[in-house]
Amino acid sequence: MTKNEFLKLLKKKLRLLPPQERQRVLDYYSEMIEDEIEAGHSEVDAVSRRGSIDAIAEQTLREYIAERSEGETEEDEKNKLPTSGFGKRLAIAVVSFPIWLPLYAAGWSVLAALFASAISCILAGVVRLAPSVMIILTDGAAGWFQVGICITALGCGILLGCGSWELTKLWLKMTGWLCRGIRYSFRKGVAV
Amino acid sequence: MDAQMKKGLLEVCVLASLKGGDSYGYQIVKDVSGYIEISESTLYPILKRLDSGGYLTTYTSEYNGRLRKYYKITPSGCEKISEFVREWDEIQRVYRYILEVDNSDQK
Repeated sequence: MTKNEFLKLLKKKLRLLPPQERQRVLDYYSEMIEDEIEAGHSEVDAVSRRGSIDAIAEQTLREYIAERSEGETEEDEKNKLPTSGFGKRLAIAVVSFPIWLPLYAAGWSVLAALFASAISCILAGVVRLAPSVMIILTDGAAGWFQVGICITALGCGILLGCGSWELTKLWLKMTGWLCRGIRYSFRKGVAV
Repeated sequence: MDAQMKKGLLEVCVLASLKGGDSYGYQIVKDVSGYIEISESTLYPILKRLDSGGYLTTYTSEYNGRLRKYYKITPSGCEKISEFVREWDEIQRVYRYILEVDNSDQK
């Protein structure tokens, strides 16, 4: 296995970690491999000397959870919070349900509306383009004006479509982060 | 060795290895593994803990056309080593007591 393959696989296994922390771990192992290569080992050998990726990922995640748990327990004691981490997170999720669900649904509605507008603009531009060209034959100025309107509508539609597509990707990414965050929050051993 | 005891010892060992000069992950593993069993996956959380505790600081420096992360001991880190050394007498007293009780139980 090459260094890049190793790091790619490790990254996948550490997907539960926050991106910044995951990058720190990847940088650490990347540096270890590079130092090992400089010490005279081949790349494949340097990678194999790191041991099992599953074991590394498991230990890293375990340490991270323990560390978070330790830090947050200390914080809990300071603030004298009586409830357990799991119970509190569940309570927060349930209590805030009337807020986050409509907000999340509103996000999708806005995206749907943007896509609908983009499609409308593109369709209007395309459908009206041919008749507008025909109008040029009878009334030049009015025809050209209509062609201009059609091209503008097409352009706006394409721009709006591209923007909506990017926003949808961002929204999906945010949904992924949210799901990972929730999944991580409810893992056993993670306290608030 | 008990996991908690090993964790404490490893922290001091890592700090001791940095007392001789700034170092990097691979070198620390090499330096410390001659005295106590340590792997790089064990070292990572130790370095992180020492860093967040203010016992060491980190900086990145270019080496052979790539960036390498270096660790530097802080005055708090040096104090932690001194503290460990000062506690040694107490540890020995406890050790002797345990040994005594254990030997008398065996007789």
